[in-house]
Amino acid sequence: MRASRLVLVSVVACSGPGLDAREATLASTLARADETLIRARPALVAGKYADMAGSTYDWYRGSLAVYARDWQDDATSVLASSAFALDAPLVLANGDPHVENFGALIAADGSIAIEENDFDSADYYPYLYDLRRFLVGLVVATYASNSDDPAAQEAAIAARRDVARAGAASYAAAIAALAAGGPATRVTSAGSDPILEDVLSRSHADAATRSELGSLTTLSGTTRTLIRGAIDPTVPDNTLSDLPAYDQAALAEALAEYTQTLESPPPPEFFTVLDAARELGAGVASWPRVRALVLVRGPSDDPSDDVVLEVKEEADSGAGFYPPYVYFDSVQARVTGTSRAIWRGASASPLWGASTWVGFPVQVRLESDGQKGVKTKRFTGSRGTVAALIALASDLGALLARVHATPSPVSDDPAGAIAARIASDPEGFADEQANVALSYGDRAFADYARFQHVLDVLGPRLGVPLDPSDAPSPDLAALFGSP
Amino acid sequence: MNRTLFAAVFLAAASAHADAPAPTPTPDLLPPAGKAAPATVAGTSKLPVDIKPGLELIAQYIYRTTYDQAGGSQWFHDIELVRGHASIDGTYRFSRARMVLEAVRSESEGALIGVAGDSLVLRIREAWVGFHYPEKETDGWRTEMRAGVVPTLTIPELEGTWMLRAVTPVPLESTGLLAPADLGGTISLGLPRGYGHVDAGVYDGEGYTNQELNRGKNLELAATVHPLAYFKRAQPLAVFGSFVLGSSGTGLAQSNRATGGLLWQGRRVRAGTSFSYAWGYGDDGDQTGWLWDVFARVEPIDRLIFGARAFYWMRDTRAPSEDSVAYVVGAAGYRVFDPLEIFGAVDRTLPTTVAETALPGSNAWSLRLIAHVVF
Repeated sequence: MRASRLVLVSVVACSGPGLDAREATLASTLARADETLIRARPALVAGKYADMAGSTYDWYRGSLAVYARDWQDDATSVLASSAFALDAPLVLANGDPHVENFGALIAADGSIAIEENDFDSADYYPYLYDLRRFLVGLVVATYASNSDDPAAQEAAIAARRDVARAGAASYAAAIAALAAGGPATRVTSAGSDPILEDVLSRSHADAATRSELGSLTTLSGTTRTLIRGAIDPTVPDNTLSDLPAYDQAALAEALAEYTQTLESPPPPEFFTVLDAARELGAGVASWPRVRALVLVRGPSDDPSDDVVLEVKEEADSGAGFYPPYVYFDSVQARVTGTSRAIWRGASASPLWGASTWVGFPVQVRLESDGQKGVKTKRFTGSRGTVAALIALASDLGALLARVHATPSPVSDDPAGAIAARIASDPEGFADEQANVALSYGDRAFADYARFQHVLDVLGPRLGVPLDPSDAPSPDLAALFGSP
Repeated sequence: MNRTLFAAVFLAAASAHADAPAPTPTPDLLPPAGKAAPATVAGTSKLPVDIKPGLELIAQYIYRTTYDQAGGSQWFHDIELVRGHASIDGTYRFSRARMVLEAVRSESEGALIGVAGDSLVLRIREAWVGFHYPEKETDGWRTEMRAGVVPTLTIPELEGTWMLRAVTPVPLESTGLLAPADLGGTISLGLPRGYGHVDAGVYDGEGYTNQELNRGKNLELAATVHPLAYFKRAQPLAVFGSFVLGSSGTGLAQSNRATGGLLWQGRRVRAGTSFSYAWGYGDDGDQTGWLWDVFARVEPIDRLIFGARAFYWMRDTRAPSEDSVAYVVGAAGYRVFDPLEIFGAVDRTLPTTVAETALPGSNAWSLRLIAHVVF
């Protein structure tokens, strides 16, 4: 009998990896979400996980799959518990509106506004799913703030519930105003928000000087090319390298398709490809995706008006709520459809479009130093105070309400439905969201340490078995590149 | 699995070899002299193999009204291929093989990247090689072993009792608590005089739709016993029990299931109730839940069929507020022309607030018109 028990244990448990239950959940959830990438591009996924293990906020950015899983299947997370739940109408949303997915965009008229700037997960979502992802991100941001000042960081962490509550209260007020017919305004000035002021002022300065041409390209005579090697010496894994010839040749066709998705495309010669390079090490969640920078001619042959575009592989959003579950015809249509609706028009970023490149659905956008993103690593000094974090939470909370108020084929008046749900008790709403953000934010922070242990135990494949047949073809491997 | 069961299995296999009539010489199985064998040899055997193709198709029109948490509702209607199975069986004496192809959408819900849009594509549902003894079933005694992509043990027994897959799947399958098939092997030992059967299986554990992610293998033990088989009229009464000792994901999360049920497997009446408890769910080894299921299929007169099923699924017993889903379906059908059946069905899914928030669109009722045929 003892022998049969041993057989049974060895068959079923077979060398458990030494993880506690939550660590096992994190490992399995991320491995399932990234399984195809782990199998085909293990070195790139390793780069992503190294980033996630390197900072609290990068962990949060890269772990959307864990949030989605906990929302759907883990009632102890309380993510899906609410007195203000509203499963429909779904709202057009970013799906991952953490603070670093907001930033400056240069509009067609040259003005610069704060908008959501990442549509990898954009789709239709329950408003509370999107709002809570934002609020939890605020809590995690307090942990990531003031890395140079422990006392300031401690103060920010102590105030994390207040920060989240400010975001929720601002959201509630803004959605009520929008439901009452208030204007959906662009955020072109920062008011008393030092973080947004930092983003906007630096964006204006760099947009005026086209500083990206200095950091991303070199000029030899009248010929401009993209640099090769590290873009910023302080970030050595973010590099540009040669694209395989076949992939570079395919860019012309990809850009021709891309121009068809622009509302007011420049003439075709604007997009004459001057140079292209594979970019590695950009983003966090999208680290393993194929990404290239493309230098195009721009308005004239004068090298001073050359333009840099980013071409980035896109995939499914991961959403799938409410029948009929699918709301777009293609990934490209999802990216362009959600972004323009959320911005209330394509003019918010006139070169933001989509295409297909060597078989991959891709997003194409302007790469400009005039489009700074909100970065938690800059939450220091006057930008890391509790007041600054609360101001940011309030401003972005209101902006998120504007996003959720976007009319869509699903609902003419989503703001009205959400506002009606909150109207009975706006203070209770803000308290409830703050409590959930606090509870789950602390869990997310604890998960950060657990993830590091998972990596120590399972390595960057997270336990996905090695199978030589998963290796990509030589052409594809060349495009994926080696970090 | 204890040593007694192993012993029974291997004794049966050994006696099969020992008791079988001397095999007829099969020169056709010898390699061809002076030439290479075909590149692929399926279909080249000259043995008198009993080959049987098969089909099962379920098509439905569904009208669904979904209630939202604001008190409103939305409707949607759709025509679906609920099941498209094409099978081929080959049997020769003690050997058997079966392959089942299954039609499935190339995208999962919410996805946009599929095969040729969102085409219906074919995948393997079953593909196994089997051995059975004796060659012909006699008085219930039957030992069968299978290896490959095999049906698991719990869901097929419950679904085979229900026999109305066209109306609704077994809740253990629809809730994702168990998979109906997996890569692995099973062994089944039939008991004499219709007293039932005991079965065991070992699988990869990720179901037939996913690749294995860990070294652990799932073990499933099941038994169906007809305690009153001695009395012909009471023979359909069955007691069913199963236990799955499993793991899931790269984290090797516990994923165990215990199921017990009381079944009636008659010709006119087929009914039952079962209770399942789950330790571990959705890659969380600490999550526990349970599912209670009751169903009946009645054919009071030839061709006229009624069915009803209800289940209650407690998704997470740890939840601070109840996280559960209730479901009920009623159906009436008629076998218009053998073997074509037509059903009308009404069903209602009722989640608690937490479950409805987590699974938007789950608070719904639907009206369906279903066509089902088996060849």
